[in-house]
This record gives sequence, structure tokens and C-alpha cells, in this order.
Amino acid sequence: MAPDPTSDPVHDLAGAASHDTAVAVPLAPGMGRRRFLTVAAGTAGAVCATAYLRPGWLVGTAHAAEVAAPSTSNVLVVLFLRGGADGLSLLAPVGDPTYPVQRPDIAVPARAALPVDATFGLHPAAPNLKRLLDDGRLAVVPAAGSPNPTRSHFEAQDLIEKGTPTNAMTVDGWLGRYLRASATTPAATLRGYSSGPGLPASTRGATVVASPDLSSLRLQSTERWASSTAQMSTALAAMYASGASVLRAPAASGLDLVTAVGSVVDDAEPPADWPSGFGPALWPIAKLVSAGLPVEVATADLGGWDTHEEMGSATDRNGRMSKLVADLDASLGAFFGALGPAADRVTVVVMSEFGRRIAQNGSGGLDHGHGQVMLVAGGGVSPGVKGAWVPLTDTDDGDVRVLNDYRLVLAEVLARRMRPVDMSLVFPGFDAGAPRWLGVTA
Amino acid sequence: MDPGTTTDTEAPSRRTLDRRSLLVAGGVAVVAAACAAPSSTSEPASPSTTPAPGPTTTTTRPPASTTTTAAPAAPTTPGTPGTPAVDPLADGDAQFLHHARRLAFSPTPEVLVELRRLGTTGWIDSQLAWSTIDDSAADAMVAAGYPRALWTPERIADDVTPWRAPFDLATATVVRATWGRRPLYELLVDFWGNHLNIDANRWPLITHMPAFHRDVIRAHATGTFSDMLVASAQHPAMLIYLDQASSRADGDQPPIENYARELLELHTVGLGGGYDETDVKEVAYLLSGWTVADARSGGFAFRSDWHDMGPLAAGGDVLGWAPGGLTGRAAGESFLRHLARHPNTANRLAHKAAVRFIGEHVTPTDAVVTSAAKAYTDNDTAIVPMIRTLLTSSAFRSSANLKARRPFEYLVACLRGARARWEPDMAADFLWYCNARLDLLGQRPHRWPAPNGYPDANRAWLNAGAMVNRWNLASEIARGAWWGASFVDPPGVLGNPAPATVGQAVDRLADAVLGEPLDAASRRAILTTTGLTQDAPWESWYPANSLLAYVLQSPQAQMR
Repeated sequence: MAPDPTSDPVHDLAGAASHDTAVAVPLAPGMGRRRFLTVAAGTAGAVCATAYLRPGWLVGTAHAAEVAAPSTSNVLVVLFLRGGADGLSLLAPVGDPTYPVQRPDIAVPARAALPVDATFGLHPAAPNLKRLLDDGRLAVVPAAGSPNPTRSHFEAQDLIEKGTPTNAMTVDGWLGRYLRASATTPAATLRGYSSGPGLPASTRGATVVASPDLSSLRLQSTERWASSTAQMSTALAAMYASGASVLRAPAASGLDLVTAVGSVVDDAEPPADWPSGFGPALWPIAKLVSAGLPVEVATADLGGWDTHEEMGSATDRNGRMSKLVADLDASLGAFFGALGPAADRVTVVVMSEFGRRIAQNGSGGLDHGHGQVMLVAGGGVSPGVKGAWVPLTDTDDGDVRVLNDYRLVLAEVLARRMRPVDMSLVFPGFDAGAPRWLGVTA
Repeated sequence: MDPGTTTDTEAPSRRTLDRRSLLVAGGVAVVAAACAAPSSTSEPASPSTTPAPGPTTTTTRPPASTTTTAAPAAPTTPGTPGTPAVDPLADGDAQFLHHARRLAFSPTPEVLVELRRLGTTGWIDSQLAWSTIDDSAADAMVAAGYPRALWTPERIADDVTPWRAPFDLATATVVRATWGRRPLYELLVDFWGNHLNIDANRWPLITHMPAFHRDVIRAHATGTFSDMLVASAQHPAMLIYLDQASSRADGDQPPIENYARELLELHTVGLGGGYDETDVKEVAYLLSGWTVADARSGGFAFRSDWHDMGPLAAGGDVLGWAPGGLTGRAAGESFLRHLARHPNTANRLAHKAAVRFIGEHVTPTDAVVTSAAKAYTDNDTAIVPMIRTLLTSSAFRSSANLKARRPFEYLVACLRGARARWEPDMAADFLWYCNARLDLLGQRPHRWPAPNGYPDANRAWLNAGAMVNRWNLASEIARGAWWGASFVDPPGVLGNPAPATVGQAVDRLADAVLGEPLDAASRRAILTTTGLTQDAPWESWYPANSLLAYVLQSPQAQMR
């Protein structure tokens, strides 16, 4: 990956917390004090904090805070359902007579499905998706996916995220290429944000921030009597201006990040009724976007979709698949709610590496399949079922056929909602032109 | 950053002396004493080419092919302490440092003393003969603080807090890496644990995970891969994790393909290793009926009533294996051992280990990989000859500093650098910190959510958020904020007698943490924060924790 090598090694410290406001990680009561005492023991016990007030030890060089104007850019959020989410449960073809026959134990019953059109219904555990649909804010694309026939999780994810499903040699990801092709000046550190500990392959090739929660975007000073956050930033910038080259760009971005995020992370906890399962992955995105930070592309991984066995009845709230769908649905509902007025700026794409087989296996589950369902929700969406579909009797080796290339969905959302780019840079070798779009945007 | 350029501002013998005195000053807690052990008994600083005394006993077969490989070990001419080595690949301070960083988590004084005493090859051999190294101190820490890492599935299931089992196991992993005396073995355990990764995230997986770790990974990490593969295929944890336990071919629906696919794609020949979708389906049939004897107590069971040989019964082969009259469990085991011996498996494992221990630049066709694969094959899938070939190669010896520490390694290096001491009465607090912070950094042991194991590419671990997390971890450890590791004792790390100047204090900390001087930019940056000159007298009340934090945060501390 090639993070922006041109970023200025001298970091503006505007907004960095002063030493007084630097907050340590929560510790059990008494701990901090005890360590204080241990370390201070043997020195003049009466040395008070002011004794350390010599230049440098304490006083940082924080500049006056520069308040950036809140971002008004549109935002693309890509939620990747890891493991191969079963599209025929999320968006059930209840009007297809083959469907219940192939899935005697796990099909969504027509009477329970939340109606979409004559063929499809949403899973009964997805009331928020239904509401988005009724509000004109949800498009669904059945028979979506990659032309590559692989049924391997890792190969499929890798190729889909590279955005070149027939070329495994690509080194960067489609979001990375988009971010590069549409780079802004000056570069905004938070343009790309990944909610989670690591970066998904789709973001390779651009400088993207990853964090598993909000509070970890804050730089902690050692102790209030030792070194301020601003001082630490200055020292780290100097240390990492040289040093191993693989570290230089991530370190520079890290320091930019601390500055950019500023006080937004002070209120880092989600509300008490925030959904648990997938909710925590969406909370930082909701918070950063609604606070007006310059996030334009955000990603999150939602795992657990590799349902080889015991998926349970679609009408049993405690069934394995029902719980997964309910979790996704509740998290998306809470996410759009928390965005407030910013919701109109945000378009969410939900995708997976592949769908699952049409027929259930001997253990009440589904093995790896091909065609999947993509969801496009939020601002700028043209609601309803989009793209081609054929009856389930017309299969790809027992799997849903891929009739709607996933890149057409992504390219349309990028082109209609995001900064203008040459789409052939984002999806090289693929005709993602407007005539082929599926109409997921209004 | 290149150790060749760090040539010494301070004589190594002097450094050793400093470290020794630190140890004397620091060795208090009973459990901590053992990790400071071996240096005191041997001549300190004379590198030697003689093999490790003694360690020829229990480990597998002799590493036969390693001396004939295309990647011969660099000459092991002893470097004289205090004299810069002429050949950077020859034994000497630069190589000792490289070996300690790459193969022992971090260059503690104890490790460097052992390396000087045994020479690099002797040290590697002694480490590979891990069972001859007394590790009772770390064992005692695990038994006292994290006993669920040692319990049977049944005992965990019966416990009032069975959910603690994965936390105990993860913390035991930290303890063994930080305070144990078998670092290379622990790194191999980590490698194989990731190769056969299981995400212990659900019931009853959590009850079986410690047994899997012990009986499959630890038991076979220096044995043969063939045995490890069969053991994993028959272990309840793997059978449950990849759904094989409930795969049956006796109904009108096909068996589950999950384990069959990952067996081929991840555990053995790899993607593009010569199989197709039809083979996956055939292997699923071949292994149908492989299940768990008892979900509580564990054990493997072959249920012939769930089994159906499927298409292979009618002829054909998978990757050159055909049943040839074998049926049932015997057929499955024969196939697994065939897979373990397959040339594509040999090359893939050798390459994966080379990337892990040498660097991402190594390609599957590099001589060091083909040599290691040959050693594996020539010794019927024995792991030690393969690993030894890699670690004694010139490719390894010229790979210093190419790999970023993954979060687990960084955490361990911080604890070791700060001379952490584990406190038995606060074992639960230490557990909480280890697990919470490794979660935050994205590498809690045994919790990678997919069967392919934690990524082993620098770019997977280095990004803006990750750097901030690392810096915060360093601050937290340096200021002694971890309950249960009361350690962090900057005055102790600083040495005794106390440093005379601020500059000397910084240098002592660098030496204790990094085993080498800081690069000029880092040293200057740290001194700048003090607002003092390097010659200013050191006062005992100066916040040494702050300086220690900077050293732990430095670029050098991120690399291994």
C-alpha cells in the first residue's frame, strides 16, 4: 500500500488536547495513585506538580484551535457481511415456487415476509429495512455479485474488494483507488475511515484510518505531571520523520488523526439502547459523520454469516439466521437515527463475498453459493428491487446466478453520490458506464 | 535502524554489566526470578560455535538436509565483543540483536547473554530442543493465575465461570511469551496456532480450545505436520469450528463442505494447489461421519452410519490420492497424511514460515523456501528441519528489521522492555488488561474471526489508528498503569548507580528496551521534551516513566 508520501511531516497541533485535559484510560480506583506513589517514592515526597513546570517537561506547544467548517460532503458507507450472507433469507423470493421446496426448514414463509413486490419479501426480522423501503430509501439488488466463480471465502473477498474479480494480481482495493483518484487538497486524514482494528482490502492504496472504537483515536499522555499530549505529538512527529519507512506514513497519519478528531471523541460512548451485535461497529461512523468530520468513505465488517448449519426457522426470533438479520436491521435503523440531519448525506451499501446455495444441506444450513443480495440504503436512493432476476430453476450449479455485476452498483453510487472520478481507474478493465447501471440511485 | 550502523557508542561488555546489575536490583518476585536465570552461570560474553550443550534428547529427528541446502548458514566466526563485526552476517552483536528481536520477542539481557554463549546456531538448536529448557517459572505462573488454560473441556464446562477459559488461555500465551524461557517455541506455537486457526467465540468451542491448543498445537509444534494435521482433524474444537461435527451423508442432502474446503485451501495445498470444486465435494463425502464423541468431554468419533464415501467409492482421485481399498476412518486418515506430504503443502508451509520468520519479500520459488520444503519432505513432514533451514539461512540473517511487530509481539516487547513483574495476587487484573488491550490492537490470541489466522503483512497492522493505539499502550505500560504487572520500575530500568546525566538516562533506557542505541532523531526528540541538555545532571525525581514511554513508542521499538 502506498499511503500519501507527500503529507507534511510537520504536524499542525491545532486542537490537540493540552496536558490538563489528556485523559488516561479508565483504571480501577486507587491504581493510578498507587503507581504515582511507587514512582515518586524516594524522591522528595513533597514535590508538587508545579515543581515540574519547567519548560519542556510540561508545557506543550499547542496552537490555537482551528475550527474547521463541518463537512457537507456525501458519505459512502460500505458494510461487508463476512462469511457469505444468504441473500435468499435477507430478500426472500417468496413468489418463486422452487424456493420453499429447496428449503423445507429454513425458507422465509410467504405469509411472514415483509412485502416488497410480487416475487420478493424481506425477512420478517427486518422491520427497519422495510421502513427504509417504504420511505423511499432502500434499493435491493438480487442476483448480484462477482463474475468469478470461486466459492472460497478468502479468494472471493479478496477479489471483490480489489474490484478486479478476474485479476488477483491487483495490489490495491476499489475504495483505495477511488480515494486516490478523487484526492482532495489538502488531504483530509479522515476521508477514509474503517471501523474495526484493521483495514479491509478494499481500502488498500489510500491512507485510511482504522479504529475499533472512538476513544482509541485519542493520544494519551503519560501522566499529567510528565508530558502533555501536545508535547508527545511533537516528539512522535520528530521520531517518525526518520525511522523505518513502513512506519513513516502510518505514524504521520496517526498524528494528523489525533489532531483532526479533537474533542469529538470525548463523548465516545453510544447511548444505552444502542444495538449490541453489529451496532458497535456502526457507532463510530455515525458519531464522526454527524459531528461534521470530513469522513467520506467508511467501512465496517459484520461477521458471522457463514451459516453452514442450523439456520433455524425464519419465523423463530431465536433462530440463528433470524438473529443475524435482526442484528443487521436494528443496527442500520439505529445508525440512520443517530445520523440525524446528516442522514441525507449518507449512502450505505451492504454486500458480502457471495450468497449461499439455493438448497439447504443435511444440517439445516447452506453451503457456499454464488449470487448474493446487495442493499443500497439512505440518501439519493431510488427504492425497490433493481437489476435482473431469473427463477430459481435457472441456476449456476445449484446456486443463484450472478446477473448483476456488483461493480455496477458500486460505480453508480460513486458516480451519482460521490466526487467525480474516472471510473476506469476504480474498476479497471470493466465497463461501468451509465447505460449499464441498475438504477439504484434517484 | 540498520543494526550495522549502530556501532557502539558503548562497549558491549559494559552494557552487559549494566544489565546484570539491573537484574540484581530488579529480581524480587519469586516468579520473576527464573526468567533472569541462565546468564549468571556462564561466561558472559564469549560467542561460541559449539552446539548447545545437552539439548539432543527429546526432539525429533536430526535436521538432516539442512547442511546441504542452497541457503547455507552464514559462517559462524565469532565476533569479538567490542569489535565491530566485519561480516554483518557473521555472529556478532548485530546478529545477536537480530535473532533476539525476531526469534525471542525482544533483546532482553538474558537472551543476549545466551546468544553470545551459544552462538546463533547453537542458540536456535537449544531453543528448538525446548523441552530441555526449564520453564517451570512460567508454568507456575500459568497454573497459579490462569488455570483454565490447562483444564479439560469437562472441567471448564462445569466451572462457574467457563467464559473465563479463552481469557485464561490468551493471558497464558502472553505470560509464556513474556516471562518464559522458550521464546522460539512460543513463536512456533503462535505460527501453527494461526495456521490451524480457531476462533474460540462460542459454546462449546470455548471449553475445547485450551485442549486443542495443548494437544494439537503445542504438542506437535516441533513434531511432524502430518501428526498435527490428523490431530487437528480429529479434535472436537476443529470439528465444531468448521461444522464437520454435524456433517452427515446419510440423508438426501449432501454433507457440509466447510472443513473439506478449508483443509485443502488453508491447512494444506492451498488455493491453486491442484484441486477443484468437485474435489471439495468429494472430500466432504470422504470425511463424513467424522464427529465429536461427546460434546462435553470431547474425543473423536467416526460414525459409520453418517458416513458415505460418495463419488470416490466409484473411482477417481483427489490430488493423486485414491481410496485403494481403504474405507471409513482409515481412508480419511490416509488422505490427510497424503495431503501433509503433498509437494504443494511442503512448499506452501515453507513459504508461509519464511514470510513469518524472514519477511514478506520472500517468494515461493526462492531458494530458501525450496530448501526448507525439501527438508520438510525429506524428513517426512518434520517441522524442525524445515524451520532450522529457514532460520540458519543467509536470507534470515540478512533480514534484520524488515518485519513490524504485530500487536501481540509489541505488547510482549513493551512488558519485557519495562522489566515487568507479574503479581500473583493481581492475576485477574493482568488478564483484563492483556485481553482488553489486545482486543483494541486487534490481536487477541485465538480470536481472529476466520480460519486463516492473523494476517502476517506489515500493512495489515500499520495504519493511523493502529499507531495511536500502540503509542497509547506504550504510555500506559510505561507509567505502570497495569494492575497485576506492578513491574515498570524506571529507576530499576535506568540502572544502578543512577545515571549521571539526562542523556545517559535516555541511553540506558534505550539499551534496556531496544538492546541498541536510539537513532539520532529519536534521541534528539526525546531530549527535546525534557527541555534540558543531554549533559544536564539527572535528578532522581525526573519523570523517568515519560522517557521510558518515548523509548517504547519509538520507531525502533515497532520493528522486530
